[in-house]
Amino acid sequence: MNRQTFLEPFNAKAMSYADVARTFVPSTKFTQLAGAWNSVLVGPRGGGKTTLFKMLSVEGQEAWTGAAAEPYKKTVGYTGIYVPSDIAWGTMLESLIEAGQDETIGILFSEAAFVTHVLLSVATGMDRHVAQNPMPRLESATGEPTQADLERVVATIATLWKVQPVSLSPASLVDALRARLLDIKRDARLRAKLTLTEVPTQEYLGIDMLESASQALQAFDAVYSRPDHRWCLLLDEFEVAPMHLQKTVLAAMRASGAQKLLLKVALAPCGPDLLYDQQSSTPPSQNNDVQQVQLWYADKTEAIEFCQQVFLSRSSTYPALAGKMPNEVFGTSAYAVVDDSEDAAQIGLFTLRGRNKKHVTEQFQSLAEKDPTFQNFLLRKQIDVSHELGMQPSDLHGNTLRKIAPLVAFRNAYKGKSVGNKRGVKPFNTAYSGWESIAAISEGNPRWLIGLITRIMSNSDQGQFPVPTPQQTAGVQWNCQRYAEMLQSVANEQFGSIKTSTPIYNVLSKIGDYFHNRLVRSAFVEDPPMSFVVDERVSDDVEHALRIAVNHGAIVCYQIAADVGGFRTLRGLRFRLTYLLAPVFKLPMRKSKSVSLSSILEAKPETPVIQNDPSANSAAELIQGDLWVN
Amino acid sequence: MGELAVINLRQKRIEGKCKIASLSKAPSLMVIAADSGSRRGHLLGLLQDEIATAGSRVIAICDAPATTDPKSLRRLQVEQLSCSATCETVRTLVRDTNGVASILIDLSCLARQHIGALFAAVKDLAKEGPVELQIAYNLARFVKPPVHWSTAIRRIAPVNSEFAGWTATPDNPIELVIALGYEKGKAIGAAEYLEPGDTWLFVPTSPEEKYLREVHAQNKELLHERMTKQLEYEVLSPVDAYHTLLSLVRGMRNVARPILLPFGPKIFFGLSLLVAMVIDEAAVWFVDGENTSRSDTSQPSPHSVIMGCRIEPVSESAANT
Repeated sequence: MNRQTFLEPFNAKAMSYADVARTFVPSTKFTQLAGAWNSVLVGPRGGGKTTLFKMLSVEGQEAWTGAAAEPYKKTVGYTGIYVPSDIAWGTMLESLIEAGQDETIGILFSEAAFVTHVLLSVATGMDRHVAQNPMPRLESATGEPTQADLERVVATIATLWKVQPVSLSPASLVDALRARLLDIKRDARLRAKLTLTEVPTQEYLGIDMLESASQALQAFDAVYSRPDHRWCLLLDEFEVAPMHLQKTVLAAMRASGAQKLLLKVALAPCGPDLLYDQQSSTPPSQNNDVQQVQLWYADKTEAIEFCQQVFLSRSSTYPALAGKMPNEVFGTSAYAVVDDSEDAAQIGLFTLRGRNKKHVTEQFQSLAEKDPTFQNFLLRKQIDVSHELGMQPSDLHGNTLRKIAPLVAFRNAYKGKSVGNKRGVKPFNTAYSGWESIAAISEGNPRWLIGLITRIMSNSDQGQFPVPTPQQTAGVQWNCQRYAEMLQSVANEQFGSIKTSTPIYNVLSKIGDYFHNRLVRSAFVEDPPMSFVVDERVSDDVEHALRIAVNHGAIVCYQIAADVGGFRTLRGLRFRLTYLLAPVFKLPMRKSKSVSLSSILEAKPETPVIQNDPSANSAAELIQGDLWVN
Repeated sequence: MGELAVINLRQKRIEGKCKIASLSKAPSLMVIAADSGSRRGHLLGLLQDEIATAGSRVIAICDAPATTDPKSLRRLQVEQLSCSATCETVRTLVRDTNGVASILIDLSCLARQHIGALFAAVKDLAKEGPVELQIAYNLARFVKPPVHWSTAIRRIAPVNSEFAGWTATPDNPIELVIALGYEKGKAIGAAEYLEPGDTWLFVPTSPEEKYLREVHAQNKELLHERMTKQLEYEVLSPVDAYHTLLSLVRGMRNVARPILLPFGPKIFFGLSLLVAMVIDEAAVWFVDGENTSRSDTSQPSPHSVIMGCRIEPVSESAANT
């Protein structure tokens, strides 16, 4: 297996369409997104938005072959035009505004650059079509369109787009638009340098992006005698586009009826404030106007199945893994995931045969010896740990014991012998090995999953299955630490309007440390909080820090975003830390009750919390982050 | 390519504390960092005689308007100006009888944002006619990195709009060039943030060998992963480093959008800006919220270098060759 890192994992942006298609695994998200309708794809960075968009593009569709692809391809009733964007392109656009001239004029140049970029993608799409469907030079008896017809339409488009191609071909349109991008930079610089104040007269300023693309495609399709053909702009990382264009596109998504040009945009979960301000007057609704797809899984089964498909799609190319199921490769861990389900597989892990049986009982006994609060709990529940513990539903206290077993293991691993102390022990890593754990930590994110698996396999003797726990946990820890380091470098400002003076990672650390302390140092409870609600007492500054955290996938919301384009506010919403941070903060991966964020932030560090938080609740609404709960 | 050419590169290595002369004739303007600290005034002290004889103007950039000059600056007749005022001075620098403007910038203790602003001003000046630019750098004595780095990063962004780069092919992937420093996690974090298609590493070597060991220790994983895509550069041989960087960026500009992320010794930050002057596509990014000039308390080592070059409009450069 190739050595792969977070630097070059499954980074679809830099991959060819063929490479993306080769290992593509269609999910239900893809199906929701793919149809001939306008849609907004919301997900954190690295969540797989680019992969989905690339696979909807005409290049991706052509590269995706095989019988499994056909049913999906039939549902795509349009030619997808992928329009890439990224942070660097966004900063280049901003540089046109910041160059020192009047801001309004700078925005005009910035918008012109983005519109040119979109038209460039449209022209490239046309060029591709012409290359695959060449027209005869001379008229035929059947009256087929000729090269002259194509030239006429290119001339029309050139007029529409205000470009002067050197020849009348789509390829020439592409060249002319590239030259325009250079002109825009030069003109903007020149204006700034000469401190010009009069209204700029460049023809390319103010071109309507959607209208000019739509009309051009209409004219193009007319030549090919396919007036009903549909196209779709796939606008990736659209949050970097100038604000006016974002508003225009989201507003245009309200259009009903047959559309020549469909729109699909990918956005971060928390966009710029200005975007929501605009929407508040006439917001498009999810139900009626736009299909909004969120890149996270509410259903555990669906997500695990997806992770398994991702594993199988790649493992077949590695001889050591070919033909193996992920459970065979990574085994299972009784401490991986806790929830309230009666899941047969999980119950099976606690059948108390052999080593497992002895080990689990020892954990209970060991903790009871050093933790008076746990003793109290056992007394209160009338649980006797001097005997072997039965954890089947039919056993006395079976459900309770099974539920708390992983908590007991965590607490026992980290709790010192004197009251309130923590042990300086090596991490309790068993919880982060096994297929269920690895799938949980990946959050159903292909990039994270591939990063985890690749690192584990590169560290291991590839003949031994299941891969030994130390190799698994080393690979998991490595990925989790890299992610934590990335979060420590995350900027405190996004999209101009999300600004905070609170370092993002500091907030995450406070939350993680608080949960760990509640788990290990506070009085033992059956269900210590592992999630939080952003309450009204939380400052705007912290709320903004959390928005940035959401955009990086560092916290996962349990609710569905009601607004098109993501979350307008985080207040009142319930979150958990991503499971990719669980090994960093030594937390179990479990659904649990919540606590108000203000009480987390106000808690003194390293102070044991004895009482249950009064604001804790057990909200059980429809939850998006309930990845591991049936 | 850009509108400017950088030619006639040369360098002079300086060892010890003997008085020295700059590379060519004395510059008409020298820029250093303000505030106290022995490393700030180190190179000015070495060049003092030449500067005094030539009557060169010396400006120390301060973050806030200075109320009183520190004693050391008064003694050396150094003006304290804000960064924007200094940049304005650079843009309006008087040229000599040959039409050449000359400036020396001591990068040792200047904040990266100030260096970026100064180079943007030099770029403007060079578009009008030739500039003899000298960049000076004193190697700091090694000190162990702090256990905890500040997490107060405001943003990761181009150092200013002049060095944001530009492209006629926004669909090309990003290729990242990271010059490593010894800040743990910063390089890998920034790289992850930008999602590059490819990443190259520049590793600094210098007589302060402990620094290199620390760079390796703090970037162990990154260096291991990018084993075939790393280049060493000698901090005290900036001309070689410039050519290596220029050649790399020139190669990638046709297939990618180059982003330079120069952590570590500030001389490489200056070299990155010079490369971006020549190649319009290249962007130079920095992490805002890093140490400011005011917080730099490093001590000077005996090792310094001055690199000189001529920056001029491409049209003039072509005419001269």
